[in-house]
Amino acid sequence: MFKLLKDYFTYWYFQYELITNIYMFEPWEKFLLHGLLVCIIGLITYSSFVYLPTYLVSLWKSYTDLLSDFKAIYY
Amino acid sequence: MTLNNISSNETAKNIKIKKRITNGIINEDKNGLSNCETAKSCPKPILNGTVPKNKKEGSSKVALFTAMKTYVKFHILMFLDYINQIFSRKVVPEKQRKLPTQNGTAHNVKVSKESFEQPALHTALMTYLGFYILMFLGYINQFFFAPKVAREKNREGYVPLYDNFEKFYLWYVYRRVRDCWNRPITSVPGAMVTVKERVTPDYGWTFVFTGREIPSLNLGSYNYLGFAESHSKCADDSIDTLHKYGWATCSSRHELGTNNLHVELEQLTARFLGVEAAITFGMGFATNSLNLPTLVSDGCLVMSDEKNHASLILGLRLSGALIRVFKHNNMKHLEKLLREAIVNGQPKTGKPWEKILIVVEGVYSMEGSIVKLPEVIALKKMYKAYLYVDEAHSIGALGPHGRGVVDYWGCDPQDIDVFMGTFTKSFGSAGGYIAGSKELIDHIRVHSHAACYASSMSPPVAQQIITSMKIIMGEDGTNEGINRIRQLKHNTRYFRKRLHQMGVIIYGNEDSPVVPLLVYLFSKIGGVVRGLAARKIATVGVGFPATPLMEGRIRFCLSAAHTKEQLDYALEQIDDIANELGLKYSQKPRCPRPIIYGSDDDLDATD
Repeated sequence: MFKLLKDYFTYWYFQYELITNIYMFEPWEKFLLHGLLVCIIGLITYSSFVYLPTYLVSLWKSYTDLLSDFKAIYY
Repeated sequence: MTLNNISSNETAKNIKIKKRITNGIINEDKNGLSNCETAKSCPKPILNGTVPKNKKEGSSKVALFTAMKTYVKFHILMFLDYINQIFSRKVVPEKQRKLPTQNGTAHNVKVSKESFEQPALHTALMTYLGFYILMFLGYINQFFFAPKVAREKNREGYVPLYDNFEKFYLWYVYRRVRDCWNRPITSVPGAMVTVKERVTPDYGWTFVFTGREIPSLNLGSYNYLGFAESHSKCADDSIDTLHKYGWATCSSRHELGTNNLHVELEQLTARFLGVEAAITFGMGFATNSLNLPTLVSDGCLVMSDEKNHASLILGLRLSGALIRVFKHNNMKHLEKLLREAIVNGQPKTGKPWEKILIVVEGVYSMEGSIVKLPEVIALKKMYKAYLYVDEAHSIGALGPHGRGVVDYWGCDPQDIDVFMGTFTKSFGSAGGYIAGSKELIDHIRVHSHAACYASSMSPPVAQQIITSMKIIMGEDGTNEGINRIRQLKHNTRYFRKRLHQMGVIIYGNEDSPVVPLLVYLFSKIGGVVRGLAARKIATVGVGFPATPLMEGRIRFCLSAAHTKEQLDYALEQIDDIANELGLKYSQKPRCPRPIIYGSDDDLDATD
C-alpha cells in the first residue's frame, strides 16, 4: 500500500519534472523553480483564506443591493 | 552552423551530417532578398552578458530597452506560431488517387499512407510552458553567471562571429542534454554498436570517459541494408583494393585522380538507376551543394520543399536562383506557386524564366515521409519544369529492387532529369552521385567545382560501393541483396505498426525506414535517449535547429541487419519508457490484434 502510494507520487513528480523541463536543470535551478512554485501556490492559498471570504460577502451584498434596486424600479 | 551536430547521426560509420533547417528557411521575397524565418521567429535575445561590444557603456539603457523589445517580440512571435499551429491542426487522410499514365489510361497507383498526427491541445500547451520555463531559467543563468567559455576579444566594431540566439541555445538548452548526442563509438555501426560510456562532472560543459564500453542495439545508423560490416564480402574486397590501389589518389578527377574503379563505379551506378550516365563525388553533402550551382543560376526559378536538406538549401543559395518554398509534400501548394511564378515571370523585369527546377527528396530524413513522385512528375510535365530528386535516404532502402523512390512508385527513370544520391546510407560507404542523361553528366563533369577541385573518391571506398551495389543488383549470383531488401521492408512495416499500436505518435510513410517518434519536449528527448541508453539501445534524438522548435523527436533508423528478436526487445523497452515518460499522445484508434512479422507478404507479392 505504502509502496503503491510512493510509486504514484514518484510517477507524477517525474511527469511534473519532465513537463516543466525541471528534469534538465542543475540543482540550484531546480531549487529556484520549486521555490517559485511554492511561493506562488502559497500566496494564492494565503490570499484565498484571508481575502476571499470578505470579498465574496461584499460581492453578494452588492448583488442583492442591485437586485433590490431593480425591484424598486419594476414594482 | 555549430548546432548541426544536434541532428547528426553520430553512430554512422561515415558521418555525413544532415542538417534540416525547416519551416521554409529559404523563403525569399520578390526582390530576391532572403529572409530567414527561423531567425525571425527567434530574434537575438540581448542581455546583460552579451551586449555587443561595439556599443558604448553609456548606452546601457538603450541596450536594456532593446533587450526587452526583442524579448517581448520573441514571445509574441512564439504565441502567434502557437495559434497558427492550433488552427492548422489536421490529420492527413489516406486517399485513393487516380493518375493518368503515359498511355492516357487511368489506373490505381500505390496509395501513400502517410500520417502527421497532431497532438492534443493540452500537450501543445505543456510543450510551450516547458519551453518558456527553459528560456526563463536560461536568461536568469546568463544574467548571473557568465560561463567560462571562449569569447571574442579585440573585435571592437566588427560583426560578432557567433549568433547570439545560437549561443544562448547552445549554452542553456542544448548543453543540458548534451550527453545524448555525439556519443563516441568504438565498433562498426552494424546491428550492434559499442558505445563508450562517459560522464559529465559539470552538467554538460565537459565530459570524462569512464573506460566502460557498452555493446548496444543500434537504432541510430543509416545502415539501411546492413552493409556496414567488418567481416563480409564488401569488407574483404575493400581490403584487397587497399593493398592494390592504396588509400587515396591524392588528386582531383580532372587531373590524376581517376582510376578504373571510378569509371566502373560510374557505369555501374548508371546501370543500377536505369539512366545513361552518372558521375560520382567523394562527399555526399558537396554533391548537392556544389553541383546545384552548375545547374541553375540567376534568372532561374527553383521550387524547393520546405523540409529539404541543408545541403540542397546551401547549393540553391550559392546558385543565385530565386527560390520558392512549397509546403512539405503538398502538391497543391507546389502547383499554386508554379502557376503564380510562371504568370508573373521574373521579379522586376517580368521576363520568362530561363529554367524551372523542382527540388525534392526521396525520403525526408526528419519526417520519414516519401515524396509523391507520380504527382510531381505530372506537374513537372504540365509546367515544363526540370526535376531534381535527392535520393540520399531512399536509394537502396525503397522499392522492390532497392532502386530508390522511382522503383517504389514504379515510375519511368527517364521522367526524372537529375538523380542525386549518396553512398553513405544504404551502401555503407561514403560519397555521392549525380545521374541522368549523357549531356547533363558531361556538363557537370566539366563545370562542377566538386569534380574540378575536390580530390577523388578513395579506392577502398569506391570498392565497397561497387561490391554492395552488385549484391543489391544480384550480380554476385546470390539472393542476398533481395533478401536484405525484403528484410528491411518487413522490419519497417513491423516496427511502425507495433509503435502505432503502442499509441505513440510517429510521422511519415509506412514504408519509410526512418521512424521519427514525437516526444515534443526537450526534457523528454533527453529522458528517452538516456533511458534507452541505460537499456542498451543507441538512438538519436533530434531537437530544435533540425526540427520545428516544438517538435522534438527521437529518430529510429531501421536496418536489414536487425532481426525480429532485436526489434522485439527494442519495442518492449520503448513501450516501457513510453509509459514511464508519458509519450502515448496518439488519439487514433489502435489495432487490437497482435501484429505478425512479415504479414504484408501476400499484399506485396504483386510488386
